[in-house]
Amino acid sequence: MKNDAFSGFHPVVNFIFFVAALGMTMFIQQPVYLLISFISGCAYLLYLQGKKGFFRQVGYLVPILIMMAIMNPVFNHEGITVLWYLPNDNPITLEAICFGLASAVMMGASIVWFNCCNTVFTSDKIIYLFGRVIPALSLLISMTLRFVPRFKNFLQSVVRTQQAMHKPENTKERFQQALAAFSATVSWAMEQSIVSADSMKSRGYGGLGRTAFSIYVFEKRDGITLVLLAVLCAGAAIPHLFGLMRWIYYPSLSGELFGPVQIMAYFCYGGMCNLPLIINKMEDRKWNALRSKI
Amino acid sequence: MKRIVKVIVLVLVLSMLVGCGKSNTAQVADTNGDGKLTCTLEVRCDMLLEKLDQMTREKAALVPENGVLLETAQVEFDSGDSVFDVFRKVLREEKIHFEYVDASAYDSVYIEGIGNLYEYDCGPQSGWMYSVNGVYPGLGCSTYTLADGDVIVFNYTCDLGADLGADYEK
Repeated sequence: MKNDAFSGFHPVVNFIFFVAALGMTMFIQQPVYLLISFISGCAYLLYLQGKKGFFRQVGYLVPILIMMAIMNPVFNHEGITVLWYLPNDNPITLEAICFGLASAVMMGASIVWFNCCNTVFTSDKIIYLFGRVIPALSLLISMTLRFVPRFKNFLQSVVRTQQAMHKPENTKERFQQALAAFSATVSWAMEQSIVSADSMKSRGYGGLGRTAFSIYVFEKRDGITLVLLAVLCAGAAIPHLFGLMRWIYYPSLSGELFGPVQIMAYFCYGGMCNLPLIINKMEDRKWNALRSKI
Repeated sequence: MKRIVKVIVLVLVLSMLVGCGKSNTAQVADTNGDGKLTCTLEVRCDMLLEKLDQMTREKAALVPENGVLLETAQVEFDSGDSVFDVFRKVLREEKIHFEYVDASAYDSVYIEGIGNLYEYDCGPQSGWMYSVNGVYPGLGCSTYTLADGDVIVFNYTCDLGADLGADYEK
């Protein structure tokens, strides 16, 4: 993972950014908005994870999204532009294809943004932000989120150890080994939960007057970013709230795509979605400039 | 493993064949003695004309001014044909959009929309119904076998048929 400057900002900034990006991706079905969100999300994830990590994390999505785009016109036949007919006389319409594509892009964009969010918005930030408001829940969330990769890693190491001891020769043996590894991992996980409960108790969890250590300071740059984020967010959301970004898929594709207001809104939305990337680029440039002077 | 998959596929295919293998062999009499079986088909949506304000702008634009989607058409049909057989043949020929689903629980098809006017487009109790000779049969349109000289009208209701005079309470 690359050194991400946006991760170093105050957790509030991170949180608000991801809420805005995810919320607008999921609730605005305008095709240009979806494309902007999808492309910027991919660009940011590519920056965060590098090429290899990016494809490992979202590569499996490609066939699923293609399936989604194909399935919609097969089962949904609304729309005035009939392209051809299925053997059972139900029509395949252009509108249904477009809607299928749009929902696939929306799904992809949301998953990509969630991946970015997981990388940037780590569990210590969750605890820091929500530890006071909802202490039990935020601890639970961060422990649960942590549990999945831990479980996966342990399972992998058990499997590797087993294979080093005895390479399975046929399907039956492989199956048995996998089962044994899984059962070992489950019992390890149960043991771990008891151990961590004991550990928490002995450290005084639940007692009064506990404090939490955190190194987050709300700096001037966080304030500036927050204001910028708010302005861009308003520029993208307010036209939508006033119905100017209205886009209808059924019964016919209609709505204004490239009027002056719409283009302005696209710029705001694009700026908002690319804010972390812009910050990173600026930070990189600063770093390089300072280094070359020495 | 492969054998199990094969068996499952075979069972599925067989059950599909059995499901499709129903044929209607009842003979329909030619009552007016012209040697052909004919019926008429009409598709209307009069109820929507007064309720355009309750629909979205895009849907309201699809409602024709006189409420007629398909003018009364004289159709020849084969013995044993259902209302739906005639309906799909004519609407395909006239290039009018429609969408249906197989409602297997009722052993019939259900017409969701005609001309992009769909069920629920004008309130939660709206959708398409059909009458034969002025009577709403309350039967799936692919299970109703036509007789010679039948008059079929598809009409859009906004109130589960009450506004069309199809009262099932009686």
